[in-house]
Amino acid sequence: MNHSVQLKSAIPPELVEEFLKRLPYISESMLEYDLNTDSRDQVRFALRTGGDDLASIVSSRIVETADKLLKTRRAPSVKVLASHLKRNPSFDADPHPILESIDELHRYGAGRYGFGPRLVQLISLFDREVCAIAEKYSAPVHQFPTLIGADLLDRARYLRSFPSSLTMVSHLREDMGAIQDFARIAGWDGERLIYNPDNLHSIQCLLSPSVCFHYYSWLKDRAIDSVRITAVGKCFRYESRNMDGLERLWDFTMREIIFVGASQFVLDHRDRMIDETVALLDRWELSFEIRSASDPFFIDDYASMAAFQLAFDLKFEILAPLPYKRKDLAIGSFNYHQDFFGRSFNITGPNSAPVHTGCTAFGLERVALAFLAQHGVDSSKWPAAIRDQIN
Amino acid sequence: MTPEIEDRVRKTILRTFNLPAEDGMTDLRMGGLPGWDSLGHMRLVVELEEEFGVAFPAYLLPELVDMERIVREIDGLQSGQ
Repeated sequence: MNHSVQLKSAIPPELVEEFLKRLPYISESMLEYDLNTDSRDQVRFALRTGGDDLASIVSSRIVETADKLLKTRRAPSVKVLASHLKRNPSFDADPHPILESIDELHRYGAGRYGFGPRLVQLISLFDREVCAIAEKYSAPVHQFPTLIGADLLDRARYLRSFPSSLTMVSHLREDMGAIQDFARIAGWDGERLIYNPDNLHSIQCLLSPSVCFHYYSWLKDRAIDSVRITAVGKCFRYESRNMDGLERLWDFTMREIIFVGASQFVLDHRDRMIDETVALLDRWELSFEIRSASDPFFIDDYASMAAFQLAFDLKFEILAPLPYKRKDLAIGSFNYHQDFFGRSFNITGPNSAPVHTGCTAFGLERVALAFLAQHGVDSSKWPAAIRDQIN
Repeated sequence: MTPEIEDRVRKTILRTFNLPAEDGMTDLRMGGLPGWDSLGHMRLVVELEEEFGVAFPAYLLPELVDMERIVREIDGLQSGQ
């Protein structure tokens, strides 16, 4: 059955996407939803058969979600650091079906994809070129686990800030009875794994949502001057129904260049990374902009945190247009965390004050998608800087 | 500094972060008080706006990091500068 709920005020146009991204988490019973695109103050939704008793709860949660998003909201003051947008793209088809048809892309499930040799080659090439920037700045290569301790994410305040995107990891209890019981009933029922939750161990680890947290933990309780490193890693962010092709993966690859030191050291390096990135994306002949942004905090004080990030210039994103969707995709970011991680992990500088940290991050699959969406999948039409390096 | 504004700003900071009055004598600045972190900063901004009936434009938020600057900006907003 269809239902409708009136919001207390209209969702501002710049927050519509963020609002819609939060609705899948309202209730498992909600099948469909949409925001009235004209007034932006009314949400229509449908519930699963038998779930209509929940209509009032779902309605109040939708209103609550809108209220939290708008609480203490300020008029956005978006800064554009670079605008290298190209008009009239030469390619505007969706690369996903083309890649699938030539066996370069295989979908395993929502947010989970496999890549064929050409796509792997392309992603590796992008990664190598970012690595060359890291090398230029003497940032040595590190490697971190895909698993991340819950203790570490708790220290980084990630568990409370982004709970909806967490991916927990468990294993069976070291108990012969539990193991035998699991083996006896385990199986796929067509929708989910059948098992008895009592047989699982408590959660110690999660799949890492980011690369740089591991490095801040590495430096825990140390006094340092300044340091820069690079690392690539698999990252995991569950995004419910928002997961959509290579645009929004549950399991993706992130290359980061990380800076730790005094505030000016970190900010100077972030500026240099922005300049280097602009030159790199120009070589790849990508259409893009670099703009101030905020993280999708899933907390009551979302609006406050977003306003803080924007006001203090803590985050800038590289936005690349996807011609086939007529929308932009964030393919990378430049982040300044102030002394948050220095305090959280007790990392101090020469003056005993907490160090500042920052990172430059590239979502490699998204970089590849933006490139293919703008240039097409036919490598003979790619910019020479890329074409010449692909066999 | 304007003494009356300064006194009200001090009281607003102490109230926002649930600090005892004696803490008002110390150096009141972001990062120097328990709770005055990123989230705390925005809570303080809202409290100051309610206390003084002003609205800080977004570009001013990074400036409001200590007593002296908060008082100066409020003074400026109230006098229409």
